[in-house]
Amino acid sequence: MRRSGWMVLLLAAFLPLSGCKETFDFLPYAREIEDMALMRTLGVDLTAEGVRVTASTGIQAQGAKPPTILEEEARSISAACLSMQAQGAAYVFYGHVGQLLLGEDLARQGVRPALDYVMRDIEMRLETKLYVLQGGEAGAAIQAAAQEDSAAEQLEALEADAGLLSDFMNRTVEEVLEDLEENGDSFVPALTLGENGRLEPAGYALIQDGALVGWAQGEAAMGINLLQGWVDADVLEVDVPTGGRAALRLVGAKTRVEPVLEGESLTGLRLRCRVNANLAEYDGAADEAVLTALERALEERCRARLTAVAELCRTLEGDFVQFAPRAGRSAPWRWSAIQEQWNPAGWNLDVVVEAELWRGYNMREH
Amino acid sequence: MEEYPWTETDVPPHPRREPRFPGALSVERVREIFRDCADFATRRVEIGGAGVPVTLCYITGMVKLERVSEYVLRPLAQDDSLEGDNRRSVYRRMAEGALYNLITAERTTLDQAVNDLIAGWCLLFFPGESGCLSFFVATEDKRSISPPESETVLKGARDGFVESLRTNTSLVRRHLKAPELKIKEQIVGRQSLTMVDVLYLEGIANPETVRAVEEHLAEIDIDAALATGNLEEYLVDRTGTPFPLVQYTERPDRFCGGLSEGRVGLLADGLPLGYLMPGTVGSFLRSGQDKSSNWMLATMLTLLRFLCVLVTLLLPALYIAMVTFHQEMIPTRLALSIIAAKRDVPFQTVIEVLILLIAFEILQEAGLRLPQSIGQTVSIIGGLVVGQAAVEAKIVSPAVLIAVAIAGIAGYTMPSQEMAAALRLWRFLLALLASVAGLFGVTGGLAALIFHLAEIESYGVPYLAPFAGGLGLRRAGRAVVRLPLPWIKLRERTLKTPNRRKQQ
Repeated sequence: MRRSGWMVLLLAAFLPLSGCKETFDFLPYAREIEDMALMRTLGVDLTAEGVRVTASTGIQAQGAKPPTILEEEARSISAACLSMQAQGAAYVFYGHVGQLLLGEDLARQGVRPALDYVMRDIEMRLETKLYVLQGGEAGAAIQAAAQEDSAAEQLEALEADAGLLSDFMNRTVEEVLEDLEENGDSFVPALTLGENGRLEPAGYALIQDGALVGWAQGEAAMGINLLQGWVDADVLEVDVPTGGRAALRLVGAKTRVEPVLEGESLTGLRLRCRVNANLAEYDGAADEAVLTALERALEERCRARLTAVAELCRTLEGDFVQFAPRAGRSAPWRWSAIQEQWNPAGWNLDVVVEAELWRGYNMREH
Repeated sequence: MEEYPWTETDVPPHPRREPRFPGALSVERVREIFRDCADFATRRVEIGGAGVPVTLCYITGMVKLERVSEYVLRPLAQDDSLEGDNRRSVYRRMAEGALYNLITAERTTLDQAVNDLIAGWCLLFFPGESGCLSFFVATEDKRSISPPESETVLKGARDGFVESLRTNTSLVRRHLKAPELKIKEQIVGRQSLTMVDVLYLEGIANPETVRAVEEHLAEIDIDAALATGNLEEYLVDRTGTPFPLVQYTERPDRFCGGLSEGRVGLLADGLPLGYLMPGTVGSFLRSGQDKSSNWMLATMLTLLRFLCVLVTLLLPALYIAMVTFHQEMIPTRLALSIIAAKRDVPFQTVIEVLILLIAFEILQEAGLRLPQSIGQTVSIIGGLVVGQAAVEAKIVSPAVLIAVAIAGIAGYTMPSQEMAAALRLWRFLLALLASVAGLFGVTGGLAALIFHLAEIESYGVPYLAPFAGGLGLRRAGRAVVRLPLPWIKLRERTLKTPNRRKQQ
């Protein structure tokens, strides 16, 4: 029995020599990593026939070689990506795509097909960062960025620096898909193509029912960051009533969205925000009165930002920052009433901001 | 021309002759048995004034000549009480202590007498007597007790086992002074006649394990028990595994620690080490130093060893799987640097890894076989110069070199070299499976390894105990976490000791 077992094992070891390739179809297909082109950035634009997909590697060999950029047009993203395999000997690998850049036209038509491709493709990742290019085409932006370094390097730098910007944050395909599944609306960081082919942050693209409907920029974009609690890099300059200007550095914000209910009817929405800040610059004696005045000024600025976001949502009739789900989480027992009566145009908005200055650094007091 | 048998049925029987040397015990027969033996010597002596001729036989080199002269020959020549013409009464007086030698025996069979001669006794033959007197006068030439070479001691006893069995048993006695320490002896090897002692603490060791060890020893019928493998492979029920099933140590304190835990020990003459049975995975990953270290440090080091088991076993296989099949698992920047490093290397990843794994084994083997100073030089030249040259010549990529080197070094953290060797074998197998089926192959290989380990037992104890055998998570945790010693009140349940409590 033991001898026959060894014979079976020996014969099994010789099976690969039989030439029956189909016998081993269940095994994964091996590819050497050096024979691959690792795509880092994928751009998708709308064309008359379908889509144009632009894929770019990062800069290669420590900057000695420019990035490889492949471009294909097809009726679907999958078809375009597949036809790119024919360009060159290397296997085009999308498993390391870290950024998905959508052209404005494509975003206006709908972002779902692109996100759906990322979700279903076996190589692409849901953690891929998503951007919408304002006023341009993703492919052109990727090509332009390659003149400087590469789109991947620029976008990775932007990702790393997102914490240093008060009106920009990274969003992944997964997060946007979750929002779209929740209520069809979401927001996506927006980019513009600046001079010298540099990609620059430009607030947020607002997605309604899966398609781009507008932009949140300036105070509204900062309001979105405030709502999400991403305020670490925000510096506010406020006028001090007693004279002069002070710079306040926001170090924390927590915003709670609460439904205002009268009986069973939803009459409004309350945004309750707690902001903490440090006094970063002030040329004067920061006494109690000054600090209180600064806190009131800070509250006013934050209230304006949150109001700007809410008004934008009301104007565009979209729930881009997930007010409704957040209100539902505040009062889960009223979730069905909130869903049924959700109509931002019809009810009051109450924005309550409490600001607190944590560290005054007022050496003169001591 | 002599024909050799080719089938098992043609192999002639190999019966053990009992007695080995038939016939009556006489000095002539002893001379006949030891003919053509240059170290065999006889001396004819006449006792006192009676002129009774007696013959002294011994093997030079095995006896201490001063003892023979002082304790045997001097009384024979000078003791007045041995004078007389009654040979029979003189013989009896000598047997009963007229000669000063501490250990004296009367032998009546040739086998006993011959074995005594070889063991360093001398024989005294009286004409007309059917037996002879045997005196233990063995030389005590042996290596002095020194620190064990393969088990470094930072904090603890520095004595190590030597090649002399009796010295080793005395070392054990000095550490464990309990009279319950039992030492049972058997002779193993037809030609080597090696003394093998089974040691255990009565009332603590499982009698079943003691009996099983004795049975295993009794069943050994080999020519010579000279090397460790001569015993190890006969002491275990299963030889179809590379994993060690009996633990060995060169340190008497660790050996005694094992005995006091309820294990059964085994010492063999000529081997400067002791075996402990049963052996489980946990015991092979525990260092002798652990009990001397702070419990938190010992726990961290044990965890590190378990991590190193995974690293040494899996790192080359995971590298092959990720670089060849699952490139999406590699962080992007690492993938880019691997691509840059591999661009001009002509070999596939699996070939690179196998080349380096084999080179690593060759270097290790060369370093072990050569004298220590040259061995170190070979290791350094092989590791640094050849490795660096291979990378610069683009024969292997730096990432592979790093992966294989880390796996190799992680293997060196194993307290048991046998365990490390077994892991090295499985490392090859897993690397090959990874080259065929990526992570599926690695997972399948690991499943096979766990299956293999799960079906092994060492003297009735599951090899994976306490991780297997239904002992629960708490007991499994104790194999990894070394609790403060005052907290450990009981001996291991898996050893089935009659007395589990070790302290109040």
